[in-house]
Order: sequence, then structure tokens, then C-alpha cells
Amino acid sequence: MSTPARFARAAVVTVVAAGALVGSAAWLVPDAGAATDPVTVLERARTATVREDFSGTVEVSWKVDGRWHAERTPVSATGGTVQVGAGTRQAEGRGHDRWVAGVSGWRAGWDEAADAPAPAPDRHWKLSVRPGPQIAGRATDVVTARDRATGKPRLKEFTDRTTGVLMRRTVLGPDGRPVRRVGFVEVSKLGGSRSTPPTTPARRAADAARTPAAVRSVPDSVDAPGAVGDRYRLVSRYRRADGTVQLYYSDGLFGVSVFEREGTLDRASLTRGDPVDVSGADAVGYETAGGTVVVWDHDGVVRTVVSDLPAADLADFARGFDDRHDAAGGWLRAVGDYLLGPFGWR
Amino acid sequence: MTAFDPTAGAPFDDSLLSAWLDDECTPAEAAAVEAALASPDVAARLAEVASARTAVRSAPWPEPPAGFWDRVHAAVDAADGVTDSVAAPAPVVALPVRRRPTRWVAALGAAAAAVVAAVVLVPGPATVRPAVGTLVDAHALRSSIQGDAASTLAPIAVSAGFRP
Amino acid sequence: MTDGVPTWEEIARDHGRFLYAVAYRLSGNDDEAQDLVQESLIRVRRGLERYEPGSLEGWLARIVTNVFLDEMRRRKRRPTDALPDDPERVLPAAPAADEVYVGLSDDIQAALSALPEEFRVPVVMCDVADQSYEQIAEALGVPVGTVRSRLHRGRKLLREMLSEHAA
Repeated sequence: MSTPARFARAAVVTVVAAGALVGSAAWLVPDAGAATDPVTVLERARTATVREDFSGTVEVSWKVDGRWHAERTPVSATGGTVQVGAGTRQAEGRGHDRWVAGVSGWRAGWDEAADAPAPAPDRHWKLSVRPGPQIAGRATDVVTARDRATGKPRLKEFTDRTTGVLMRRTVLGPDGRPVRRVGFVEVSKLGGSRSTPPTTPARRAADAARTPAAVRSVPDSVDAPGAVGDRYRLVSRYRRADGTVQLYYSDGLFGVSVFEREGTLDRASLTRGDPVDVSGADAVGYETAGGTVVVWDHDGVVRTVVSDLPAADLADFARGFDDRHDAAGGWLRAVGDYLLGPFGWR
Repeated sequence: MTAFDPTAGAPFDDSLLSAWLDDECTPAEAAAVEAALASPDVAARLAEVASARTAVRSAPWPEPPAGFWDRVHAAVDAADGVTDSVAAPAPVVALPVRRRPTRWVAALGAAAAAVVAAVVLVPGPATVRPAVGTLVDAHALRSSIQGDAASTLAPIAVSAGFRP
Repeated sequence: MTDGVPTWEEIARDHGRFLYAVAYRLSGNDDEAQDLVQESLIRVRRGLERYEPGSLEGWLARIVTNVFLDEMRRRKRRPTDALPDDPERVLPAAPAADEVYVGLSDDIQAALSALPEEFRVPVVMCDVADQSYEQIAEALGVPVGTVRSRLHRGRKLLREMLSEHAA
């Protein structure tokens, strides 16, 4: 784009943004009912399904090559048990137990508590809370997480003002535009009386032996760095029934799973995806309903990383995971990128 | 054509950028900063101070030299006239060197045997076909332990099969 | 620990690294950092009776900063004090293995040390000791607005020095 055109576009965007800001000036002044502490709002949302009963429909939408895809599913919470889906695609959670239904019936998906806390959500993010729009007929507060370096919003969590239930989570790309959303399109019974938790077939039929087990250490052949870059902290390690190691990292708002399995990647078995460069390795990237995925192999280990992070951020994470071998160099590079990146010098 | 500058007319106090990064703004100040960030100049200035802030915060903490804390304990006690003979470090006694050539030779032999066995018996690297759909669900299950259960589990119900 | 008040030994054990890190970032070298920590812990021990359970690291950051500022004032009043008796100590000692940090960490320390004291202290108190502007203002005896502007100017200067090196 030519310089005058770029200026013209910046001017239009800025005028529009300023106009929108003036138009929504009421949002800038917290009203009497609005929450004021974003960390408290997020914590309340995180645990709301344990306290609140509700029934509704959630829409999961994700962007692939600029085009939105969307799917809807029934979701309910009853006496602390959360149920999503129907038929052969269902999941259920109570406490730290999880079950998943498939074509061959229910199986246990998880029975471990999180063994370490994630970083505080404001550790790496600049958080603010303001009154939000109505979602599924409910008044909300919106917590916005901004990148401290660019000031760009990267995540918005809309919570029900009365009960604290998370009504929508919107992930935004590096340019500040939405790339993924999970949220209610309709909800009922919210804020009503509690019910007795249902007795479901899940708990009767679950095969606990196949659930991932938390482990204190991982085989020497795979890596489990305590941190990736200066942002993501290793929260827990698991060994799955097939021997795959699952590492879970968090920066306080985004979780990333790293799955590691010894061997070489059978590329022919992979569905065609987007090419991603992970420190020289030819990785493959996908956008799915459940998150962004990057798969590659390095030094005899096949790695798959999954997160609801935008693709560019997950690719950065994958590179950070591989680069940590050169701790000093990686750290230098990270700070160098941080210093020079915003100015296009790298 | 000049780009619209939302801060034009009212001088923008740049020190608000640092305060914004440190969560030290009033709500009105934070709103002013976020409005001003529409200006690329202001955004660039924010990136500058943010980079310095991150550089200092992410630099590893220096470690004092070995033996420093013992010296500090002694000095602090001495400064207040406290002596504590019990705290005196015990003398370090070197352990006698033990020579056990027969075990050493046996270990070498075992190691050599292990190398031979490894070459003969260990298969080449396995070929891995990641079950991406299953791993995406496994990530959702783990995320739901730490996050809001409804929104994190919902994708499991809609991701029927793995669809890129 | 009694009544929620730790002993000075517990503070040295649990917060010693914190004290040393703040002292090192303020003073810029290991010798002075060691002296600052030692003097700080002496003050901690003497001040424990007056300590009211609260932000322990805030209290410690304030003590080590005060020790540093007292030392700076003492040197300004009696500049000859800065000249050591032992002529060998005029030259900085070669860094011990423990003092050698890789790459940019050294550059950050060099840039911090090059900052005028009035900017360096708020930057260290905020970005190393993680103190609020109000705590820094109270420790330095200046208004919160002064802390804000000095911190911001300090970061801008740091950014300039670090980017010069990176380029």
C-alpha cells in the first residue's frame, strides 16, 4: 500500500474509532452495578458453573482464512455438574472429573486436580473491566486483556453481571480483530434455584485406567521446560495411556497443551494444513473448533501443541519451546525481538 | 492529509503510559490512554517504555557469591553483639577415596554389554501419527479443569471428527 | 515466627535473594550489593519489633533503598569516603563466576547503572521490587506524580540505551 493511502486508511480508522468511542462514552464511566476489579470478575467466572444452574445454547465460532465457521451445542449446569453436547458428542464435568461420550460409549477423560496454579491473569496482561453489551438477554461486564507492549486488545471475557457466569470469550488476533468466540446465544434458568446434580451414565461406565495420570517427571527423551519464553509457565505434566506426555502451560489467560511422543512424524497421515516454520522444522498448522494446532517433529520427538491462542501466537510458542535449548540465545533473542519488533527492525 | 490525532488540542501526558502499564491509572486516565493508543505515535511510544519495563522485569535475578549468607549471618550477629557457638560450621572432613577395581571392571563390562544389546535390540524410531482430534479434545478437558468448564468443554461437543 | 512476625533469619532465608537482587540493581556491583544487604539485615533485625505484618517485601524494599540512599548521601557529603584505603580496590575486581550473567542481563545492569540515581531508584523499586507508586512515593518522600514521571523518564532513557546496544 502506498504511503498516502496508508495515511488515509489510518485516518479513517482513527476517526471511526474515535467516533465509536465518543458514541459509547457511557461505557467509559463504570455504572453503579458494574464490577471494578477484573481479576475478581475473571475468578468469579471461572468458578460460576459450580455455583449456578443454567441451561442454554453455546455457539463456537472460529475463523479460517478470513472466513467464520460456527457450530452450536446445548450446554447446562445442574447442581455443579456441567453437561455439553448431545448424542455421541457429549462431555460432562463435575469437580475435577471429566467424561466424554463417543461412538463406543462414555469414557473417563480426566480425574486429576490441577497440581499447580496458573500465573495470575494480570501477570502478563493489562486488564480492565467495563459494562458490556447484552448477551443472550443478560447484562454483562466485559474484561478486556490488552497486550502491554502494543496496547491492542487480545481477549475479551463477557460475564453475566448478576451471577458471574462467562457468557462469551472472544480471542483477538495480533491486529486486535476477533479470531475465535465461544459464547451463549440463548440461556435460561440463570440465577434461579439450585437443583440436585444428575446421576448420569458417565460415572458408572467410566474407564479410569485410561485417564491421563499426573506425573512428577517425564522420560529423558522428551522435554518439559519449566517455562517457555518469559510468558508461559509449566503448570502440570501428564502421561496418557498411550505413552504420550501432555504438558500444560499457562500465561494466566491462555492455556497451551504440548503433546510429545517419541518417534518421527508420519506426515502422510496428516490432513493437509497450513505450513508453519518452527525453528527450521516444517510444521503443519490447523484451525479447529477446539483450538489452533501445530504439529512438527524435532530430534526424534513428535510434538503437537494446542491452544485457543491465535495462529501467530501459537507458532511463536512452538518456536519458543524449541528455542529454549539455547537458553541464553533464546532469551537474548526474545528481548531483542521485544525491543525491535514493534519497529519492524526484525 | 494528516492523520487524526485524538490527543491534539489537549497535550497528552506521556507518563500516563507507564502508569497504564503498571495499573496505576485512575479509570478516567486509563480510558484516556486507551483512546490515545489509536494514534500510531502514542502506540509506538507505549511500545518503547513497555520494552524497557519488560527487559528489566525479565532479567534474571543476580545471585550472591557462595558463602555470602554465612558471612552475613555472622556479621549481623556480631553487629548486635550476639555470638552463637552452636552455629559455627562443622569442619569438613574429606571422605577416603575408595578403590574397588573389581566393581569398576564389572561395571565397564556391563556397560559394554548394554551398548551391544542396544545396537542389536533397540528398534529404530517409531513412526507417530498424532490423533489430532483426540489431542484437541484432551486439551479442552485439561483447560476445563483450570478455566470455565462450560466454554472450554463446548468445543468437544461440536468438533465431531477432526476438521481443519 | 511469632504472631505472624518472621525472625530475621527467616527473612534472610526466604527473602535474601530478593534483597540481594534489589541491592545489586540499585548499586550495580556485587561488593556494594553485599554491603547493602548486610546493613539492611542489621536494620531488619533492629526494626522487627516495630514491624507490623503486611507487605514484607515492601518493607524490605524500603529498607534496602533507604540504606542505598543513605550511602549515596554520605558519599556526597564526604566525597573522600568513596576513596578506599586499599589502592587495589580502586579498580573493579574481576567478576567471580557467580557474578557473570549472560548477554543482555549485563546490558540491562549497565544501562541501569548509567541512569541518574533519581530515575534508577524508582525503576528498580517498581520493576525489580514490584512496589506500587504509593509505596515508592512513601519510601522516597516525594509525591506519587513525581514517582510516575521519574519512572517514565527512567524507562525512556533505558530504552534508548538498550536499543543503541541492540542496534
